[in-house]
Amino acid sequence: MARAQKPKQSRRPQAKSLKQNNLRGFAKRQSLKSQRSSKYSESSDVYEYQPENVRRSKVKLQLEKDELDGARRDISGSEDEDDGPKRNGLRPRLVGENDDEGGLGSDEDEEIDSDEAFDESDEERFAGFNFSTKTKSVAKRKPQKRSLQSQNASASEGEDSAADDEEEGDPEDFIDVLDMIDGKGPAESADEGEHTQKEERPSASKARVEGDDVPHLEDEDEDMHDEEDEGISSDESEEDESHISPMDDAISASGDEDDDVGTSLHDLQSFITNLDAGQKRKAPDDEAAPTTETGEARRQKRRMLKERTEAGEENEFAPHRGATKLNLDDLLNPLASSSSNLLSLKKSAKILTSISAKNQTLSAPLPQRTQERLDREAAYQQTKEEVDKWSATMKKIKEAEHLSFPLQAQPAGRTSNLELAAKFKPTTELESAVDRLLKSAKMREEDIAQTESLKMNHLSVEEVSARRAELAKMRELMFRAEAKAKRVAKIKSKTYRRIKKKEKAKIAAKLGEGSDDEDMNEETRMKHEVERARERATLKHKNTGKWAKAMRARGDLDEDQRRDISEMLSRGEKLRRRIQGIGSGDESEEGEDDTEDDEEGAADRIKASAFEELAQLDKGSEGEEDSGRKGKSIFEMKFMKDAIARDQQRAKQMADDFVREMGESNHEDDEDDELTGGRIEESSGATIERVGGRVTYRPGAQQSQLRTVNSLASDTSSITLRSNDLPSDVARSVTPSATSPIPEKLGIATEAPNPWLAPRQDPAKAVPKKHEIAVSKDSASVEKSKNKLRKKAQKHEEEQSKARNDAAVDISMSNVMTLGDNSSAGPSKPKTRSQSGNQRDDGDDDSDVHSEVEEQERLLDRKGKGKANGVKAFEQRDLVARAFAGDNVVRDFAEAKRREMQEDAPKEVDTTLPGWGSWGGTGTRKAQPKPHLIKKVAGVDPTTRADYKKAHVIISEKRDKKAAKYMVKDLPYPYTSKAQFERSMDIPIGTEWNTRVGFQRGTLPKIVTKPGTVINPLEKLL
Amino acid sequence: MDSLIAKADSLRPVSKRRKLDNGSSSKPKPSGSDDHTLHSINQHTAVPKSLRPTSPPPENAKSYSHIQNPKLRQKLTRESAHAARAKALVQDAELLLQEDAGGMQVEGEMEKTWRVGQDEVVKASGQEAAKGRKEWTLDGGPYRSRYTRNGRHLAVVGKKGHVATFDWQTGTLHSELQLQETCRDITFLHDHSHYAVAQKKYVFIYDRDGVELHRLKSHIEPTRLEFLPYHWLLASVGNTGYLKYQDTSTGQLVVEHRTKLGACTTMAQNHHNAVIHLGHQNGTVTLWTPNLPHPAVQLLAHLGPVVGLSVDPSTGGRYMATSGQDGLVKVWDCRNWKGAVRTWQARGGVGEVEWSQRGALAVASGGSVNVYTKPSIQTPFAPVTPPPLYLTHPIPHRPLTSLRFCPFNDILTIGHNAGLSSILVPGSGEPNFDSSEADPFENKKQRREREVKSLLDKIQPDMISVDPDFVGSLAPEPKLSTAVTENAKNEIPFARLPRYERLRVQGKADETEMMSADEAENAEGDDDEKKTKGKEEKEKRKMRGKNKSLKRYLRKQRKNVIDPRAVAVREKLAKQREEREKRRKAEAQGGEGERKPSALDRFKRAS
Repeated sequence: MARAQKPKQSRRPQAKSLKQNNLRGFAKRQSLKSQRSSKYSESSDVYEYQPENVRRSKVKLQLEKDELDGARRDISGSEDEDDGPKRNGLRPRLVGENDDEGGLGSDEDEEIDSDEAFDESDEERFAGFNFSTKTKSVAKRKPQKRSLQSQNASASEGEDSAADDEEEGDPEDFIDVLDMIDGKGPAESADEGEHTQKEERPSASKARVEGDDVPHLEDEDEDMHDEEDEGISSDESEEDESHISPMDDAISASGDEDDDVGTSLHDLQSFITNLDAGQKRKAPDDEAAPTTETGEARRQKRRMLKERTEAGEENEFAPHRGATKLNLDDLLNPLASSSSNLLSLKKSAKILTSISAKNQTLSAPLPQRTQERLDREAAYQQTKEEVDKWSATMKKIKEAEHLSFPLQAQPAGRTSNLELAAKFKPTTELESAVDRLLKSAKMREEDIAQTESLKMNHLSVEEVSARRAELAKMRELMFRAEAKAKRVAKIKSKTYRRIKKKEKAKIAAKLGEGSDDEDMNEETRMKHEVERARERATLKHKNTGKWAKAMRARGDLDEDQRRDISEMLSRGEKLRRRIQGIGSGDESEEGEDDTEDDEEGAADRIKASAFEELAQLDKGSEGEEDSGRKGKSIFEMKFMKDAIARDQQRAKQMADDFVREMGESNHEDDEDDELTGGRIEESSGATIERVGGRVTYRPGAQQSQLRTVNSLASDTSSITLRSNDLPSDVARSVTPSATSPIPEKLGIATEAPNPWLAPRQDPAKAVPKKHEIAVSKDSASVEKSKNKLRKKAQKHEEEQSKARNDAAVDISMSNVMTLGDNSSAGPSKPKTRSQSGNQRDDGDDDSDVHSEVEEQERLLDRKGKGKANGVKAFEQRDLVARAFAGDNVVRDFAEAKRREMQEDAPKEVDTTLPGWGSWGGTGTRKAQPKPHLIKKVAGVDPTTRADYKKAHVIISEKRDKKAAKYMVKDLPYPYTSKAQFERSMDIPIGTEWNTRVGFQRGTLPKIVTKPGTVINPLEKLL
Repeated sequence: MDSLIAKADSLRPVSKRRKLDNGSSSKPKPSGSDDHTLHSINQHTAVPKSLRPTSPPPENAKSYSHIQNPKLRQKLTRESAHAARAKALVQDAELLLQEDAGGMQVEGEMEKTWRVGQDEVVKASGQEAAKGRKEWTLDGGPYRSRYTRNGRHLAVVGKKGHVATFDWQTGTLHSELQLQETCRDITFLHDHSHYAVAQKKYVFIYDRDGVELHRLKSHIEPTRLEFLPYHWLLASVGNTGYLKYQDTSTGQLVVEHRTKLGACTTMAQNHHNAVIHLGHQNGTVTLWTPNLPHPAVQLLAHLGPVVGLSVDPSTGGRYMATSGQDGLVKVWDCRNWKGAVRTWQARGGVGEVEWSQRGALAVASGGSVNVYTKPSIQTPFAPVTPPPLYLTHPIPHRPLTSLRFCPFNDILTIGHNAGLSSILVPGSGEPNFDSSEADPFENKKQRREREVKSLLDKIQPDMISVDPDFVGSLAPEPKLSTAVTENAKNEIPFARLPRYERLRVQGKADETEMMSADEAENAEGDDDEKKTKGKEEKEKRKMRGKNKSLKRYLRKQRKNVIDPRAVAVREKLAKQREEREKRRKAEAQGGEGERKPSALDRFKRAS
């Protein structure tokens, strides 16, 4: 600041002659400016987006206000000398120092950038402000417009204006240079101010039209203050320098002269004020002043800069604004002397004059706080939008359960054969040898291509393409066929193969049919022969065979084939007869039947034929018994006969089973009825007798007969089944059942050893038990006592009782319900039986080896009788056991538990030391325990113990210190409840408790990196 | 200037515009479909293909939708889904366990399985299985036996000093010794390559070939031995009444506990939690861990000496069976010790008891061995009646000194006076073995590998506890309390409270599951009380309110400049409050205050 002050004071003597200088200096300055502006154009861009701009602008605003004061003072007092000190006095209040100077020296470049920073929204802010015609900074616009003709369009606006000026000022350029050599350089700045002044008005009017130009006004204001550090200081230093060597200044410090729109604005104002008075005086002054009063001009410029902001609304200027209507002509008048200049200027100003008809108010600039906020908002929006593009991706990454770096790696495809082949270079000896061979044979890939191309040389393009297409097609077809063949060859399904084979055969047959028999080649014939032979060999001598079918399918048969078939059939018949002949001979009828069957049966039901066959077999066997004419050999011998008989019987049985199974009985019912009827006849006598036995309820039934019944039942059911089903079985056997083929099996069945019957005491036991229960359930205690009596009374021979048993059961089952307390022999028997069985058990074994068995038996008994008895007995035994077992074990345990509880319980311990703090000796009263000496020992409350109210158990409540280290002391971080944590710990991780997949999933690392690969930052893909 | 700023500040459209802008900018948000960057990372942010679930998550996964913190919610949901899925996978994998446990079934009520004798069983079973039925007639007193964990090898020891180890399936004898002194017990160590014998004075360790490797001098007059496979601990108890743990991998004597209950001849281990159960002369059963110098649990099981003890391995060590000299067999529930689940009197005196892998209980009583099966012995039943018998086998050579089920086989080996006899108990053994755990068919290499692996996986002895799941769980709140201080908890400052307590005070704790857990019963009573208390606490700790929009406005308005508008607003607020207060008061008084004075009021007597 202090530094900046100096030059001003030095300039003071040269005051006031500025206005004269203005016009002269204008052209010169412009030319210089244009020269420099091109140099600085780049730097303007550099400044453009620097964030400092905003800050500076803020500073400027405050300054402006101060300046305002200064300007007022300046104008009212018009005391230049005072100005400096006053402002110095003001300084401390300013936030940004040097700004007034900085404003002066602010660069033209900056105009440009601030210009661009502006937008429409700002324009609105200006709305409240009324810009007079005198507002200067608009000036820049006009030249810019004009410049489009000559200057390159890409240059920044500031430059443009400068360039325009250059055009105009060309002739004067030389003079200016001379002037500068004389030391007039500094005047340029003043000139510039004037020049701009002239231009301003039209441009201001134009600005009203062009929205984006308007903000420029304000920009300049701000820009002046923009450069706190660099701009200002440099400007100032430059100014200092210019004072010493104006030449330098003019050339180098373009920043000063070119850019200070603010200065020019102010100049304009002052110029306007003087317009009326000093019109005439101007011209002479112009000539005189430049050399002598450059310093003054500069000083003036500075001072006016302060006032620049007043241009808007300040009162001092209000009269000027309101009273005089400034024309462009007025501004151009001073230029009349240099006609060429004026002409060109007028030409260019023509456009402006037409537009400048209307005045428009411009809104005030925003306070910089708001402006900054807006800027921040805009910047924030921008940044946000930019960042938002990443949000989905980042969300995904953040939420991912598993990341494998590099994240954007593309899956590497497998290298193709072609690729490998292309890369191949023979390295080993063998490879190189092969390569050489191939080379010599011209078989390498390249060679082939070459030869092909050679061949193709004399072909037309169409031919080549056609050939290529053909080749490609062939290759494609081959490839497909190969692929298909491969796929088909892989199929392992047998059914598929079979079907395939059949298909092939069919196709072959069709082909064969198409041609004549003679045409049938050797191979197929051979095949047929083989088939036939096989058929013969496998004894499939029916017309259902494959070969036969094929023959039949062929329809018209020649002599040979017919003979063949008939031969085959007859052979088959013979063979069948032979088969039957093993058992017996066969009847001619059968054979006929058979043949008939064969002939007529086109689609023969297998089932039916099977039954037929069975029937025939039966008949055959019977017939054999009668006649026995075929059996001549060893079959006549007795053992063979026996064996045959046995076989037959078995076969019959099987056949019966089969028949029953197939449910196809109706067809042979007649025969069967006959047969079984006869048999029942023969066995019915016995059954009836049996029935008679039952009816009399005699236990003394014949044992053998009972046996038969018994075994009869045992055929169909197991032991349990027998015991349960016995009555019904018997009943069934009593009423002769026509359909059952059982009697036939009888003999065999009785002979066959049933494994379940072998050790049989148990079924005998089981049966009476059931019976017993039945008795007890509805009979009273009287009945029970009677049973007991009967038990004692009855002694029977073992075998007999066993035999009788079953009968008795039957009786009881029917009787129990009706008899009540009728003491017939029936119910008593089973009891005796079980008793005797038990006795026997006891007899042959150690007394308590089977004690558990007995126990179980007794339990079962007791279940029948009702529990009360047994439980009571048990209780007594238990009591006795208790009485004599252990000595005071229970009491000891209770005592131990009490002690444990007491030990663990919370306690209060009196830690008073007797004799300390109290009197001792005889006659002293015991002092009350002091509360601070009572130590409280924490413990487990008896009621909270795990074994509370469990007298037989002591569960230790002491802390397991060693185990405590394996426990988590506090709830770990992310969890908010114990349950959450415990559930997470519940999942076992190890392989022992998991499947492979479960384990791998459970231990999947959060991040996996590929070793040795660089992890690049994520790339934004569009 | 100030006025200018104020003016600018008073211009509110700025914020409005901001909001607008936000709205507009949020509109063209890039949707996921056309985001190439997102696509490019899709593959590498997903779970690998092979681990991706093929089915939707099972329904039984717990939902955590009520949790507000999105990170925690995601974590918990993931965890629970994984748990459910893993469980489902394990269940699926159980399909692979195709072996079916055998068993005897009756066809009718009248048929009883115990009526089936061994010869019948042998006949009915397959040739290979039938090999298990064996009789070893040996001299040298009552015998005891022990199988390896894979059930392949058998060690027998006679009281008079005959020791033999062999592969019972192939019949190869590993070693046979005549030790010439009283031998009371034998056990294999981690596998059949080493075994320990409790001899007259000390415990000795032999290798597979019968070479004496160690004499454990600290184990004096041992009567019973147990080996804890996961901890590599050999536990012995003897006539001196000391329970000693010896680490067989390091050779250290880990700990010795004085039982103070005299000589002990009954010992069993709980395979689930490696707790040693001892049965004593005074009828108590004590549970021991290496950590505690006193029994973790003491149970008065019988009124006479305890003679048999076994823990059910099939139910995770939940049931324990004891038999006493008083002739009773009892089954206990080890979780709550609420008295015997089932008690019955065994006839002819009781000997040992033993559970099989699948929960068949063998009881040696008198001259026979009785086997009971699962559902009936474990269902609570008050009357002292024996459960239905599954199988019984008489043995004429008393006493029956040991019962051992062969793992992974339906074989029960009974040691008695004249040697050993193996009987078939259909359905007693586990049909599906885990080859990584115990493989009956392992070869030499596998055995070696398993040895190394199990050494590496060895668990520290202090991890033995009655509750085996305690490791890694949250330490339970100690039950300790002092009689006098009633509200000690309240005195702890907030900062020193445990995290859960702090969360609860702050109202951040997730209390949805707490009530359903064990606290449900005692929480009911003081529910309301707790609620009110919690509310108070919450209010106390609450952040200063940020709720009302008007308040927010005021806060924002708070500045040094006294704005007439703000003053007005404040006044209005105060007025409102006052009014509200008034109204409330009026309501509390039953509307008396509000009542308009009526004409009849003048007649009211002034009171």
